[in-house]
Amino acid sequence: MTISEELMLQMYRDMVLGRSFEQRAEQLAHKGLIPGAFHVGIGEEATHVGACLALTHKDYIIPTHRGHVADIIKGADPGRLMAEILGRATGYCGGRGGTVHIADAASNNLGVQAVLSAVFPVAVGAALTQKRLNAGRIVLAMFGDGASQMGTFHEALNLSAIWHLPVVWVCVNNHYAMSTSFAEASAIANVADRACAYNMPGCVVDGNDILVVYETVREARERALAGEGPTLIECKTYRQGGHSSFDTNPYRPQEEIDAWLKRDPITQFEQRLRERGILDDKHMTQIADGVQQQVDEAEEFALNSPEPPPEAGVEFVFRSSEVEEL
Amino acid sequence: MTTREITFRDALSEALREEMVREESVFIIGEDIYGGPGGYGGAFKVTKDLGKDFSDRLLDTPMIEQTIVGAAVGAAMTGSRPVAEIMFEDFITLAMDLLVNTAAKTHYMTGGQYCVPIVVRAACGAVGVGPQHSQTWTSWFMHVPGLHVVLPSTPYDAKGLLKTAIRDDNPVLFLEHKKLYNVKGNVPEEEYVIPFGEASVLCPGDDVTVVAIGYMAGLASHVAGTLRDQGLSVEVIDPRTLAPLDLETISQSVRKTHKVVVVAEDCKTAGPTAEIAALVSEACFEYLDAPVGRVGARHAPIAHNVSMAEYIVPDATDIHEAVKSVMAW
Amino acid sequence: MATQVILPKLTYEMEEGRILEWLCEEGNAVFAGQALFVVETDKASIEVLAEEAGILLRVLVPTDAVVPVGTAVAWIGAPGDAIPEVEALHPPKEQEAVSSPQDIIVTSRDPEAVVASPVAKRLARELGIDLEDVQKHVGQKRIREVDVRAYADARRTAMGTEGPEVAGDAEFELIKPTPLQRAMALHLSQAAAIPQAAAACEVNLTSLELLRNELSADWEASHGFRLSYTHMLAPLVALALESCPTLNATWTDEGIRLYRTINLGVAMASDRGLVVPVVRAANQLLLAEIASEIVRLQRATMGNRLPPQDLEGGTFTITNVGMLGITLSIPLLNPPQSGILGIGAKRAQLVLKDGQPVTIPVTWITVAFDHRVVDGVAAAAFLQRVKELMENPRSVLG
Repeated sequence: MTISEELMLQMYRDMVLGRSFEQRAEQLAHKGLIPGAFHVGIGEEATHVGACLALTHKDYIIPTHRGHVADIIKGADPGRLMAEILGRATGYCGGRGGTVHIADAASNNLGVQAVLSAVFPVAVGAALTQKRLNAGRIVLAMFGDGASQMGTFHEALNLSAIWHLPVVWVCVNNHYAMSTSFAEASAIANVADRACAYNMPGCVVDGNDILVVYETVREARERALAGEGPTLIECKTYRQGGHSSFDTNPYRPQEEIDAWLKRDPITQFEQRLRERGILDDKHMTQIADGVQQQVDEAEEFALNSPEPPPEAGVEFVFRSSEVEEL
Repeated sequence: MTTREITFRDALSEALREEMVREESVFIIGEDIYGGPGGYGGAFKVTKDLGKDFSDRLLDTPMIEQTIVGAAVGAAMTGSRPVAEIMFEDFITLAMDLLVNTAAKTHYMTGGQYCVPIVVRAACGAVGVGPQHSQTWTSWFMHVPGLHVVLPSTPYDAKGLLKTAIRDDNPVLFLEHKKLYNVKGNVPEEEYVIPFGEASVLCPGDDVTVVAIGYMAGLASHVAGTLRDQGLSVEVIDPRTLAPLDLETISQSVRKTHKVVVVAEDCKTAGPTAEIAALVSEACFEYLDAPVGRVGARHAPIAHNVSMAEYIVPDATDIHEAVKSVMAW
Repeated sequence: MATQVILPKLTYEMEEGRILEWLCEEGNAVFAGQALFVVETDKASIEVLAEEAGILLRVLVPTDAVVPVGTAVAWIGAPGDAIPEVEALHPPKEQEAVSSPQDIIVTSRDPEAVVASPVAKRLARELGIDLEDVQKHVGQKRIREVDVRAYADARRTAMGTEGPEVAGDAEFELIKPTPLQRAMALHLSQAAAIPQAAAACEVNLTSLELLRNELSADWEASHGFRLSYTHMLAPLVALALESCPTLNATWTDEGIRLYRTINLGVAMASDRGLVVPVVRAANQLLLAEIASEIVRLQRATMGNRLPPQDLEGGTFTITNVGMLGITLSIPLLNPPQSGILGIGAKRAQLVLKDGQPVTIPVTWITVAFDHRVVDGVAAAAFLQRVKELMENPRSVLG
């Protein structure tokens, strides 16, 4: 598969945007402007961006709580995203969901699942509809190594396999659930090793190599569209910060963190693009300024957005449907 | 309007059939609901007649309650209208998270962007099948904002309410008491729906109101007949849907009779009777001539042994005693 | 050590007594044989004497309270003696009315003592009923709606009020009926049980007016009072009754009594209420005699000197409400009489006489009758007879 220069620049820019967005959101969290916790995905950009760019607009995505960049790549407006994180009325969910329930129906983002075990059945159900309708869409379900231990992982992967459902399972293995390392939690070395239990293709990829992630997800997508069923892709990556903005992660050895920092996805890709002559300082500055402006605008929009009225808290509990009388 | 006598089971089956004909997006998912060319047709045979005509719409799954309900949620969010069958209501606990945290909350959490038009049908009630196959749990689910909870007590109600449940854009827990499946009743030939939030007055009366839920509604009507011969005029009300609850009909009745007993097969402690009693007390306090009476199962799982089970689960005598007790206050 | 003073049984039939008056106060020294209090029994008022000397330490039962025989009413002892907080020897029956606001038992009234259902409380509030009265009436601690309604019905029956059941929260003044009013209420309630009907006809008063004017000229000088229409009507009605005996009768279980004498009751207003003194053997009296008797009865009534025998034995009643401005009255039967005649106000009526408009004085007379004894035909016959006599009075009165 050939990836155009244009796409590569896009990939780079998107990763920079993602990181910048996360950093800005983290700052706001430290200023106390975000209710609750904020989960930073700095370091995982290649996985989230690479996987998302492999989708079309029609495809559905269930992102992780750490994949704010995925929301943006899929089509969410950074300003409204930031507003939702801050709980403002202009946010995608009117402030009702927050960072762990971001959803954007317009870009076919089914929404983050905070109770992680729900990702698997919901993805399978969404894929079921696409198969029944022959809709030409797939479902990309992203989940962490921690979530892969939940019972529904087993139920849903099995079901997706026996029913040949158009779903691509992408595990963002950053080696830690919250503080529990994957090595402690898993009987096997790779999440993707479980693929054979469900008779589906599985592979492990370098989650910090955006091109590899992109290509692998693309292939899995084609397979799903062709009716060949699901694929399990494990992206090995690393979150550079703690579990949440409150977490100083004392449970991870510094050597480990340092080793992964050397393999920073953005830095790595920048290097590769420079080598190929696709990226130079001028581009970098342009991209940096553009991203800065975008993130500034998003922050400003969010900070200037009103709080929702308290009474709005009881709206949307039910959707009123007038059942037509015959 | 012509009616014919059919069973509760057949009424449900007709509802499913009619809605599948009406909407392509309606399908049924659960364990052993299709079961191959012969068709197991569901543990209680509700879908037995549907396999032939709707083979692509009856999806048999492995034993995966969480994913049955969860897949229904995902499918519903993307345009389908699934009906998920949970074999015994006792098993619904396996899918609690998907029902309570995902199905019930999605419309809200996404600020109205997605809705979850699922129906989760489950068989409830004690019929001598032991502690993990006998429960009726309703107040757990009344307690969840975003869920509708429905218990029909007649074939007429079953069909009309199931059709409404399928057309409802919200998640609906639809409970079918096992003892009702073979009960016959008059059902119109023509299509009809019954809206949620409308109680049914099974028999009018002036001396005391009995609010009876699900299977208890039939028992209460029977008790009302006996009491009528003894000179007591009992008004029996079947709420039919617990969420939304038709408090207005119940209140109107209590404002007339000044005495009320609430009956359910659920455990009495924190059962639906507790919520309804509190609501009645709030709405009709100055009309009450006695404390609100309640009938519910004793505080124990439902035993395998038949006489133990009968001791635990309320029956006609318990209803009779409760009415007498309220009258004598 | 303090000793109890109990209410003694002072007569054979005495079961309870009302404390009329305490003759000593708490703290007073009393000697043996001293009168402590006065109690009203079923027979008379009696002084109760102290059995021992001592200080009246505590009065337990206040004035006006009604308590059963044997109830502890006071403590007598030496100064400083402790008074045990005990129940009365014979605690009062729950149904007995305790008219004093103070309780008999030493423990203070607990506002929560009356247990009533919410609807009972609301109903009692709307009807202006005290829940404690209901409690005493029904004799049980817990009050339901049916108990409040039973009390309200009983109260309504006793007081004869026919007002709407639920008066709402409107303010009202409670008036205690006089014994006379109570008696009349009870008496007239009996009338409700009798199947009554009424019939009326119009009477031309021209001749009667003419005769009255003629007689009035010297009447007062001769008799000492003015001649009224009522005086003139009495003998006419008495005469009519002679030919209509069923109007002068009473229905009884054994049969209909047709009275041989005509004792005419004449309704009169007094400041204490309506009274109906009786003119005995009215059909045997001349106009002057009847009139004098009526005047005597009137004066006695006004002066509250009417002896009971003058109120008894009536067999028919006339009530002239015309002087009150009433055009047509439909009187209530005066049981056990089978008939009552009401006379309305005189009024001018325009008629044609020989083709010319003239006004004549007319009035309505109405007979209400016990339909078991008198039917429409008999009532009509009586009315016609009275009308005939009123329109041709000269033959009788002149």
